[in-house]
Amino acid sequence: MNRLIIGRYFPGNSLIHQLDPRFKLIFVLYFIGLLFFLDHFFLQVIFFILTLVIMMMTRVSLSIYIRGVRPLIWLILFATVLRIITTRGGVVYFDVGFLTVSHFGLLSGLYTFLRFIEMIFISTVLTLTTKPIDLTDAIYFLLKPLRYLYVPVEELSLMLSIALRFIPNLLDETEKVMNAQRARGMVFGEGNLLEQMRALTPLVLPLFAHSLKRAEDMADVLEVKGYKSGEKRTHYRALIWGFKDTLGVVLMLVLMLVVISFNI
Amino acid sequence: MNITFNRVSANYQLGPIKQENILRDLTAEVLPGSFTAVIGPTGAGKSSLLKLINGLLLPSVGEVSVGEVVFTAKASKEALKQVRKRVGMAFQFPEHQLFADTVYEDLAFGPRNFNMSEKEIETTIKEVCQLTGIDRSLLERSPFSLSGGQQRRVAIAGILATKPDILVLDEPAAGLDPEAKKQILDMLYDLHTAEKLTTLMVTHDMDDVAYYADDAIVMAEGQIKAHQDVRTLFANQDLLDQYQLDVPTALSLQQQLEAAKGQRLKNRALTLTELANGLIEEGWV
Ligand SMILES: Nc1ncnc2c1ncn2[C@@H]1O[C@H](COP(=O)(O)OP(=O)(O)OP(=O)(O)O)[C@@H](O)[C@H]1O
Ligand SMILES: [Mg+2]
Repeated sequence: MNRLIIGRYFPGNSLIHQLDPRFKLIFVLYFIGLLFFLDHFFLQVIFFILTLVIMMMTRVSLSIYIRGVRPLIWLILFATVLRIITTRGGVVYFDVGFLTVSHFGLLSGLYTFLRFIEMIFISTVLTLTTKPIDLTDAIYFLLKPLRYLYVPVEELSLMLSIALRFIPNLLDETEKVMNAQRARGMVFGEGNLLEQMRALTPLVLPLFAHSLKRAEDMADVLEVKGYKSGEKRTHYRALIWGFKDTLGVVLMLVLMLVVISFNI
Repeated sequence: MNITFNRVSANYQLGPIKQENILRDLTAEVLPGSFTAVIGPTGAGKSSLLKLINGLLLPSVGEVSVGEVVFTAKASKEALKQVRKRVGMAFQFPEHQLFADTVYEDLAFGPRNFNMSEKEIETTIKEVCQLTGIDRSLLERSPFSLSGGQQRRVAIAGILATKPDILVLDEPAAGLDPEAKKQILDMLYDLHTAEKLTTLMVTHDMDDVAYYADDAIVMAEGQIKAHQDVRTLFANQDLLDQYQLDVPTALSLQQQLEAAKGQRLKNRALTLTELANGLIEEGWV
């Protein structure tokens, strides 16, 4: 239960926690977008420091963020190394066939590495400081215009919030079923690939059966409580846009100007 | 087979981040052939204690021994397999573990994992069906198409099919109607006596403790607070009050009668039969 960091919410009362989830969502998407335009060393430094400052402002300890990076570290290193050996330019330190290590290559490898790390850190900031349910509301808000294209936004956001709500249950249940099958002599993660796949049946089937059963119950409950799709509905939790959020937008504009000025 | 806990602490820690121990400094010995109830408030660590017995949870400090096998912070795969073959473990709501196409296949799952021959499996399944009252016609049905009570029987039969020497039961009758509950518990109790099994059962119902158990382990806040003979336990009102444990129906009735009459009976009755006998002896009725 304590493994998954991405998607986990850490209750708190920091400035970042208090911001409007809509602002946070937009900011994170925008920030990640900007990360692709950082071609200057100085810009990289600014963004790296900014990421660290935002992380510190959440008052969540650094080790939590690092745990979030860990599952992806091999992917990141792979991308970085690929970048280093395929980029040429500047002083060449090492050159065999298509493998080159050059000054340019090292620099863009570093940029790739930083970009990945910053992307993960900043999205972790979002999920650590925003309740999943607030995040769903924010997504709903941003998707709202799609209603005019007959996209069932209400239903999508309901589905999303129910799905998010049940992730912890599903994890708990997985652990329970695994334990029950282990007690009956099942050994997980042993044997060749085929055997391992087969070993998943006793785990996955009960989970499926149980989830389907619960989905059915849930649908009945929604029905009984009078939920109808396609209705216009009001919201119990209102999102409140504050002065801090407006300040945040100003920060976004400033960042944009900085990036543009370095790119001309 | 003996089960002993020797100064065991354990937690659900994963990875490097330190967590407080959920079970702390447990020492206890469960005698072979005994029926031991594990009681205590919710969150006391009862289920976790049971998991220690077949190595689903390993001690961080101390050691657990089951027969000759000893678990410490590290356990070999061999030791785990050996113990899990001997320990039949029914979790809370065991029907959530059913998965196979047919009831027969599900019952055969455990025995196959422990390398029983198909022939042996067939006879064993016949036996456990008889024992648990599963009709032979159900064997070819899908376990998911059965009623809740039937599923529970199949799940428990699947655990008995591995022929364990030790039964570990986590609220085996939770959520069943009184009739089905009594049937299942009576069946397990009969099996316990007939096969001389060592049984541990978590329960919230003090009547179960009074009717089936020889001794009881009282847990609270991750510690074993008492391990006593059932009669001693229910004679110790202070202990019961301290851990908010109820008394069996018969005893509660006795206490009410005593209060109304202003006199006391000689013995504390644990079952209704005992109470009736006590009342007759003292000439109250
Ligand atoms: N898989 C797990 N991961 C982390 N913590 C757990 C896990 N299972 C139980 N715990 C924690 O261990 C403690 C004891 O739980 P346990 O399930 O052993 O209690 P219990 O006595 O069986 O309670 P109940 O009567 O409600 O079944 C609880 O605080 C619980 O939060
Ligand atoms: Mg429990």
